[in-house]
Amino acid sequence: MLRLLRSEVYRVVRRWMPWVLLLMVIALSFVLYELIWVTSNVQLQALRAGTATPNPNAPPPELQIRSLESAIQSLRPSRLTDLGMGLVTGLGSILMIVFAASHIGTEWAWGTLRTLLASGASRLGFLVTKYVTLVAYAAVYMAVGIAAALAASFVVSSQAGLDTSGVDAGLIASAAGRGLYAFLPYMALASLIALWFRSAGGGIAAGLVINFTESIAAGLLISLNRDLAWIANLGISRNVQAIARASATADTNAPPGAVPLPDQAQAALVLAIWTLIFVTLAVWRLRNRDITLA
Amino acid sequence: MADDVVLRTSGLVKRFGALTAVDHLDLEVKRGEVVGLLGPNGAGKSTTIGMILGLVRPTAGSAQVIGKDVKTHREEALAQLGAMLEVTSFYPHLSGRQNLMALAILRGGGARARVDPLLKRLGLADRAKSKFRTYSLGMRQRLGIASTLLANPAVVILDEPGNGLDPAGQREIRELTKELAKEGRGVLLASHLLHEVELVCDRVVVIQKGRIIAAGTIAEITRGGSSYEIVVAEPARAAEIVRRVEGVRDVRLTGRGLDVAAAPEIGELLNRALVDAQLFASAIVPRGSSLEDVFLELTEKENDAPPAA
Repeated sequence: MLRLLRSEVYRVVRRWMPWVLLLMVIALSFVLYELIWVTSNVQLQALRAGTATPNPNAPPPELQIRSLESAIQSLRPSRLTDLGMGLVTGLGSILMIVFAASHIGTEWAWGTLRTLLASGASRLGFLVTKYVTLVAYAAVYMAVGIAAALAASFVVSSQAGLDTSGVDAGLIASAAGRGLYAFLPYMALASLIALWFRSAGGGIAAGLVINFTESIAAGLLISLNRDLAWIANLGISRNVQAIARASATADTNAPPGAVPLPDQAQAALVLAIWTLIFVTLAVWRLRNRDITLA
Repeated sequence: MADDVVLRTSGLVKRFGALTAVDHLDLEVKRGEVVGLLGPNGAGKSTTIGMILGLVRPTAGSAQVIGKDVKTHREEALAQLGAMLEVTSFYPHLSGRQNLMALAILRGGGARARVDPLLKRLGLADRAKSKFRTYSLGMRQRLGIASTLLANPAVVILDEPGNGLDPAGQREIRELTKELAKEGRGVLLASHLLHEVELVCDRVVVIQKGRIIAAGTIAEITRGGSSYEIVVAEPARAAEIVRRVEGVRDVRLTGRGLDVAAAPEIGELLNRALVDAQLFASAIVPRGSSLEDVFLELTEKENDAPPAA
């Protein structure tokens, strides 16, 4: 198993995709921070100088100024768990689906699964190795993403003359752990679909569709009947939201009257169960399948 | 000697629903010999190899490598087995050397040290750093063969190694296959290039619809058949006469006379029968049957046979 893992690492670090995904999160971190700073600052200056284009539907200027100041304050390194983490985990949930499906599905597309198995790798070993490298990559992604967001935050805060102190490493580490945990069911789902249908594209498409539509469906279900919220709370999206919300430093309490998200323990348990179901199905499918060219 | 058997399949069966792809296949490959696995497309060659490698789950039966059952002692069995599959599959973004290195890491032992010597042996040293996706078909096949030897295995399985190769490339593969056997390895060569098999293999196993329809040395397989070309003035009448001769299996008219499929060494009988009928052949030319003739005859006969109840 260890030899297979070493072989897997040897191969994966020589692929472009993992590096490209890391470059994306680095670039987007800087773009997001810079964009928020530039656009907010331009509007803020215009409002303060009274040169902003009047808009009868817009809230009063004082309110707009407060809102823009708040947006600019969120750029501070001490607020990384709000803005930066939001970007890293939001983008990550998509990128990890893409990576997970590709990581497993391409072994079929290239026919290399047969080569590996014929060279002594076991089916279970193959899957375990894939999952280990997926989680390791997600951890690397999270570390790189946070580092990039932190760097962007420092750069932009310096430009904006904001306070750069008060970074809470413990809070960031905890948020990173939660974010990583929230990736697991989506990665397991994308891998399962890629494995079942022997297609990286299928895994990516299905994973993304479920990622996007499940939260919409959950919202619709709750808006139709609040008593059915327990059903929505058995899905993935609301539990991921519950896990992510626990990391926020800003006031992110649900508006009055909104159905509360599941508590932390329940959210963690539901996500673990989903992950386990997807992994078990993948193991069962691979163990019982003939590995043929067709 | 039983100890010499490095690869054995016993009663191997694979059914896909109602279709029986492999039907109680018993096969043996001994140390130092090349065994050809012949059969038309869809005969079950690749499924058999898939079962030996543990890629395809057998419905019944077993495969052993050096006495180790592939199902129950997979790791030990495959450690002694190198296989080049019909479609050589490697990582397109890695170079030839990196692909071998990735497999060598998986194999362990001294496999990493064999990567460069194998690239040299297979004539790939100059392109070792090129991406696999830029390789020609012949280079891919050679890389596939190199990968089979990483573990220095006792058994090598080559599934259609000559596919897509030019005549020079095919000759290289033949020489290499012989070398592998000389080194004491057992080689199972699945191919539909009968000329290749005839030149390389010590024994052949012909399968059709998943069943063995003939097995033995090339001489044993081809002994049952030979043919004669008879140049004669009245071919139609001569054909009637020749058909009555014992040992004649088939007679076909040609432009110059007859083409007679018959048991070997009956040329004198044919001549005597024609002379008795006042027909004088200007030539009776014996021709040994090639493996191709026998293979076609066997597989056509099998195709014509009614399906088993």
